[in-house]
Amino acid sequence: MRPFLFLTILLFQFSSFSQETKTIHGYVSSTKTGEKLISATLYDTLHKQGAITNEYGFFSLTVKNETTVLRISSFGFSTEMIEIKKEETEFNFNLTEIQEIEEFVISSERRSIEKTNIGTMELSMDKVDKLPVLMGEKDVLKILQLMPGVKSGGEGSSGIYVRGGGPDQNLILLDGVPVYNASHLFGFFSVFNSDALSQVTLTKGAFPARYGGRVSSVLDMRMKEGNNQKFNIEGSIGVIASRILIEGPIKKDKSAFIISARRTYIDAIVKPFLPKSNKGGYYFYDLNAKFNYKINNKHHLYLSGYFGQDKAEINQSETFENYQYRHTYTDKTGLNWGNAIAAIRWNYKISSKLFANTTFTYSKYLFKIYNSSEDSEYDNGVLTNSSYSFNYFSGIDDWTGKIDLTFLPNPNHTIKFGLGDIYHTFRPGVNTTSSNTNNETNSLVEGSDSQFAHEAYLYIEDEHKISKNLKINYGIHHSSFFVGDKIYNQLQPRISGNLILTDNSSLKFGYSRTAQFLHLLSNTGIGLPTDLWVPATEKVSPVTADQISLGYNHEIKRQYNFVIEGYYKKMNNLIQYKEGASFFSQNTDWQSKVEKGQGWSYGGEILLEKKKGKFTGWIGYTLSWTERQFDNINSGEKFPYRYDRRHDISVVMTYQLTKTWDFGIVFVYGTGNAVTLASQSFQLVPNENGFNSQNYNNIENVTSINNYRLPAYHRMDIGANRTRKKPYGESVLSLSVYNVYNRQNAYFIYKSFDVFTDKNTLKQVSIFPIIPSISWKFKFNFEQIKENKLNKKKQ
Amino acid sequence: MKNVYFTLIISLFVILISCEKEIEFKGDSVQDLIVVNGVLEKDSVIQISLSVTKPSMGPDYFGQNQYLKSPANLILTDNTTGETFMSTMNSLSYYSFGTTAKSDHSYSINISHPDYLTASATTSIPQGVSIIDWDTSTINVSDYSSEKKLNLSWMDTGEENFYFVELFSIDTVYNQKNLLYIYSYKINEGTMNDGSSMLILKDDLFNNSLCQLSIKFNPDYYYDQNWVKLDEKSYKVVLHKVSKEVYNYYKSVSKINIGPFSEPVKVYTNILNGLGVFGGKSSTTLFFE
Repeated sequence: MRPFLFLTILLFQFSSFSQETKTIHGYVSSTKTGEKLISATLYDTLHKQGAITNEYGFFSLTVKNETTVLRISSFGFSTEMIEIKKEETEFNFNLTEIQEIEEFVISSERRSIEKTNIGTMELSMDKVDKLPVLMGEKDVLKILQLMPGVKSGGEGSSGIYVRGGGPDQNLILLDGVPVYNASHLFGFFSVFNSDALSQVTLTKGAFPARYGGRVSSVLDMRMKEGNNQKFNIEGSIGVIASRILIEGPIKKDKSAFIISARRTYIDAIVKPFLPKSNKGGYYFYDLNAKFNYKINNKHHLYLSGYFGQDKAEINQSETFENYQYRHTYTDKTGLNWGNAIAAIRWNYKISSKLFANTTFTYSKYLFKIYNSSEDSEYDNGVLTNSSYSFNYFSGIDDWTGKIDLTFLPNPNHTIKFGLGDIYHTFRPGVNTTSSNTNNETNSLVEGSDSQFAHEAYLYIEDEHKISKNLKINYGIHHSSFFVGDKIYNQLQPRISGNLILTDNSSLKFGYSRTAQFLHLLSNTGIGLPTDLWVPATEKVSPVTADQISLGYNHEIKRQYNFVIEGYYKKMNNLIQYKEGASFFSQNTDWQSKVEKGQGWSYGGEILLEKKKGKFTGWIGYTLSWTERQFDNINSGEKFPYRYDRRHDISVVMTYQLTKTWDFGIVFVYGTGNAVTLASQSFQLVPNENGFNSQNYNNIENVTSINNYRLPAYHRMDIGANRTRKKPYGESVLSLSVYNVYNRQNAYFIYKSFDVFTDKNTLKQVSIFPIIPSISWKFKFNFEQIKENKLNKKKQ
Repeated sequence: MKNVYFTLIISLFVILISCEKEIEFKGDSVQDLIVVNGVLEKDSVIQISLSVTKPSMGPDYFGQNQYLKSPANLILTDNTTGETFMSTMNSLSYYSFGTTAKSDHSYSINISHPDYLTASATTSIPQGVSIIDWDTSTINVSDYSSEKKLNLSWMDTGEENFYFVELFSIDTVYNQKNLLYIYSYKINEGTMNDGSSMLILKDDLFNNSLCQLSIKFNPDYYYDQNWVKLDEKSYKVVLHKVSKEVYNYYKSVSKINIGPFSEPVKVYTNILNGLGVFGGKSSTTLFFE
């Protein structure tokens, strides 16, 4: 606790200031929508001091108490110069959106070389719209997979693997609420509806102390707040799904709402082709909603929610009937999984220098497989009824309460501190079976018991501008995990810094210790929702990781950005299924099926980006090594992680040909995933009974786990967008071709025996060949429609 | 018309979604290896059987490449006495030596063959173990079924020891024995564990003290031609004290679970330039009813 005490004392020391200063504070918003702007910069041109708005659009800048001129800017908005008179302190600035954005950049206007956080990327939502995508479905996670250091799990996968970490090691936050299963359609699409998002930030390096609970990365996504100025409707119609977004003011300048929804229609497409006795199909949907209410200049309230579900079901019914006999059989089999999250957030501007955000959230993930059948037989006046049902379900529920405070004593310090508690309920796999024959019922419940845990944490961090050229973010995060009779305490120091070398270059560095109290127990690697979220327990310790990273950032004429980073990460207490274990055998407790071990990941990343002009894009390259070691797996020897990818290259280009047409092209190349494949087989030693214990004649000789590489993965996608102004607003027609040269990338491989030739061969299954798609996006502009009507009347 | 659409959709789906092709196996070229089956039984003539590995890819017909095509040259060394023994070939696969395995003796084997790398290994024969006490009981679970319980105890010695236990029913009519499944077991006052057809134990819980093993199994019966239950069969339990190599080998083999989603298992071997196991065991048998 000593570091906290020290930092708290330090914090109050900052409060003493000369009477000659004043604190300019307030919010920066968009004129058009009224939404708060995150990371907008405010610069006092007289005193050469600056500030940045926080994630709620709040800023605070302490300067000398005299008349000055503030320059306010944000990416995509026109820059404003505003004179601030002596004694004036409280402002709400509005910036006007630029209609034609010439720049296509990764980051906002704030220069990359000035940021302290190493390995942080802010994704412009423009990018999501402009790049070609699979089946026309825009997907933020798939765009992030094109960044160096971020890898996809394989063909079509929406999971992200950051610097050798598993998909469970990413803290995915939607409006500050963790999302556990981020994929639809068995991993092919992410659950995030890009239309409803305003900002996406990925931190893969040393993340600041305010984040905790995961060891590899933080993906912080913010939903749009809703337009408090005017109504807006936009949507799109695609090959497999359509979406709509409606937003508008409830009371202008005071409150607004936003609702967006997406649904696939695979079930409707398939329905006419199903036999009459079969019903069902597959679909998924998402619903995002947010409501915000400005109580007064000090208080602001937000309510937000996300509900999404995948559902696959087959219903069969058959009836056989003759003179004195009737047999009816019905069967229903399905699986569904989904997330539901809700958050209530209260922003309170306590003073000109102190801002508080209090949040209560609920997050639920549930996966369920079910089968039920009913049999009814009528034979010669005797009726026999029987039924059977099977349910398997797993899931996790979180209730969270937290308070985050931002204290801005002067332009050289931004201090963030807070605390929170998460109450977890884990349901790591339960089977229930029930059968009934002529009113006699038998039921059985087996599997792992539900587990309950509290995760309490507190943190403090300071973004400290030590000198003109040196800025450091240091802090500490402490978390305690209470599970059963066990308490795990984890003290996690974090530091990252930025040393500006020249006007165009900087050196960045970072160290972080992170801890994670949840594990994702997975053995398929293909994003099946059967993967189990399980907690650290008395037997299974939490994951911890230490990462150091060093980077160099160089800008050329503010048009090109070059970043090179190296990292080394060590992970402890990772879990993996034991040799021979299978997730199908759910009747035993999961703790008896896992091994504990460690992992290493190290490598280098290069990003060369062109940010301005008609032609923009980037080239990303990652060279990395990722290894795992478990005492009782692979004879205790190190082996490559499944997603150990030596080389990973992505080339992304967009070209704005005219105001109407823009084009995009994506090329990716990656070393194949590591899998286990035996090269020879042998006979086991028999036991006393003449057979070996398993009665297997021949066994594959596994020389090492993950000893074989799938063929290298590569593909190219191209796309074009035609944007046209219409009397009702805007129309965007998007054409894209996924995997343009029809590369057959391996989804999985298997050994196949040909009975005709008595020969074993290696077979590869690919899932996505060349796939053209088309989608149409529309946007209604009600002001324009009204204006058109007025013009018509005038005519 | 509907069928035409259906066929078109299915065809398109198959073309687009499921593309399967044969690919070249590009694994490291692995040389075929000699596989040794050499678990030496205390006070028994030392016998070793040999086979060879076969490639996972390529031709695969019954028995192909599993046997040596010409005799191997085996040299056994008793490291305790320094004596060496040459093998006598019973067949291309079976070799014996003119000596018996002695407890506490260390043995090395060296196997050479012109087509394979020379394989070698070393082991020692554990001392025998005596069953101190035992008893059995039958518990009626319902009107139709019962379970049998066997309690067995022996004294463990100070060093690290390894055991495995096998249970058989003895059919005196057909003069055969059947391996029985032990569905649960416990050691001393510990909790019940899931069993298997062969219990593989390490002396972690009873080092240098008395081990009380309790096993449960389903009784085995004789049946008449109409599958009417007759008398209960008698039983045989074999307690093997094994070398560490044998323990590791059987422990890894017991993990093998053939299924599409099962994790792969690396089978233990102590054979340098080969596969299989060269180890020792000392067995004690108990007959009971």
